[in-house]
Amino acid sequence: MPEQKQRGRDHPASTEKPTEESTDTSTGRDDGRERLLNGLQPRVSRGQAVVGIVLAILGFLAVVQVQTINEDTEFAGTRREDLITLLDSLEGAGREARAEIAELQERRNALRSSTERRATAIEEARSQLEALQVLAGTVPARGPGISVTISDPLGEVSTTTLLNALQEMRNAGAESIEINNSVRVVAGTSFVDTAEGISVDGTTLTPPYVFEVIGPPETLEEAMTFRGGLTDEISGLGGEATISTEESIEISSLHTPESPQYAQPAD
Amino acid sequence: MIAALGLLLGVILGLVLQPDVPVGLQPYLPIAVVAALDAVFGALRAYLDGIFDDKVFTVSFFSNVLIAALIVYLGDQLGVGNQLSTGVIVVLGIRIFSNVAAIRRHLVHA
Repeated sequence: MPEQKQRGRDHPASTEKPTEESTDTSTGRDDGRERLLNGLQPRVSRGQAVVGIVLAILGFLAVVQVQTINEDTEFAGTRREDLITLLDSLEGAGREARAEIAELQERRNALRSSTERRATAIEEARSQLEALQVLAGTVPARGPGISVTISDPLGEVSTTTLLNALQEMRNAGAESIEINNSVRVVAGTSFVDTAEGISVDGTTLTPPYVFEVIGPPETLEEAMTFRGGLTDEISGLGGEATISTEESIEISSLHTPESPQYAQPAD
Repeated sequence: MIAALGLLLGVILGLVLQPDVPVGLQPYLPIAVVAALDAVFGALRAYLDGIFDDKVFTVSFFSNVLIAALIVYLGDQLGVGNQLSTGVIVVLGIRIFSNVAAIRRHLVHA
C-alpha cells in the first residue's frame, strides 16, 4: 500500500531500497530498537514459525558448507581448466623423473661392470701370487707326490748325482722340492761340494738324502726308476734309492727371497 | 525469538547429521549460503524499518538462492564460471554491507 511504502522510505542515508512489504503501521528510527526488543520476546505466530524454518535452513546450509570445505575433497570441486593445467605439470614432472631414472640406471650398469672387471683382475692376481709363492718357496706347500731316500754308505754320491736327480724330478713335473726337511729347493738353489759334505744353499747335508717332492706321483716315480735312471745310478755308486709315492707331502721349509741386484725386468 | 531458535536448530542439525554434499552441487553451495545471508539481512532491516512481511521474506530467500546458483551455473557453461561467481559474491557482499549499515543506524543511532 503506497502510504506505508512512502513512510518506509524516509531514511535519507540509506542507498538500498527495502523490498519487504509491511504489515506493521509504526515507522520511525526510534521504533527500530522497540521492534527489536519486541521481537525478542517469545511469541507464537505464523510469521515467527516461517522465519524460524527458513533460518533453520540457512543454519544447516552454512554448517554443511563449512564442513565440506574442511574435509579433503581431492580435487572433486575444481574446475576443468585447473585440472588440465595440473595434469600437464604432472606429466612434465613424470617425464623428467623417467629420464633421470634411465640416466642413473646406465651409470649403475657402468659402475657394476667396472667393479666386476676389477674383482676378476684381483682374483687373477691373487692366484698368480699363490703360484709364485709356492714356486719361490716363501710359503709352505702340501700336495701329492713322492719321497725319495738316497742312502750313501760309501760317500760316493756327489752334487752331480743330486743335480741329475733334481733335473729328472723337474722334468717329470715337480712343483715343490725339499731336501732333508731343511732346505727348500727353488730356481736359484746351489749345490756345492765341501769338505764336510754337500752344501745346498749354504746348508751342509749329510746322507741319507731325503727328497720330498710335490708333483704328479706316477710320473715322478717313473722318472726315478726307469732303467738307467736315478735308482740304477745310485746302485752303481754303492748306495740305494728308495721311492715311495705319498698322497700328501708336507713341505715346511721356506726359502728367503732376495731382490735381484743386477737383473732388471726387460720390458 | 523463535526465529533465533530456528537458526540454532539448523546449525545443530548440520553438525549432527554431517551430510555429504554431492560433487555436482559443491561449487554452488557457498554461493547459496551468501545469497541466503543477503536475504536474511534484508529481512532484518525491513523488520527494524517496520515493513517486514514473512511471505515476502520467504520468497526473496529462495529466489535469491536460486538466481545466484543459476547465474553461477550459466557462467560455468559459458566458461566464465570463476569470474561470474566472483561477481555474484561481490554484489551480494555490497548488499549485505548496506543492509547491515541500515540496521546499525537503527540500533545505535550512529
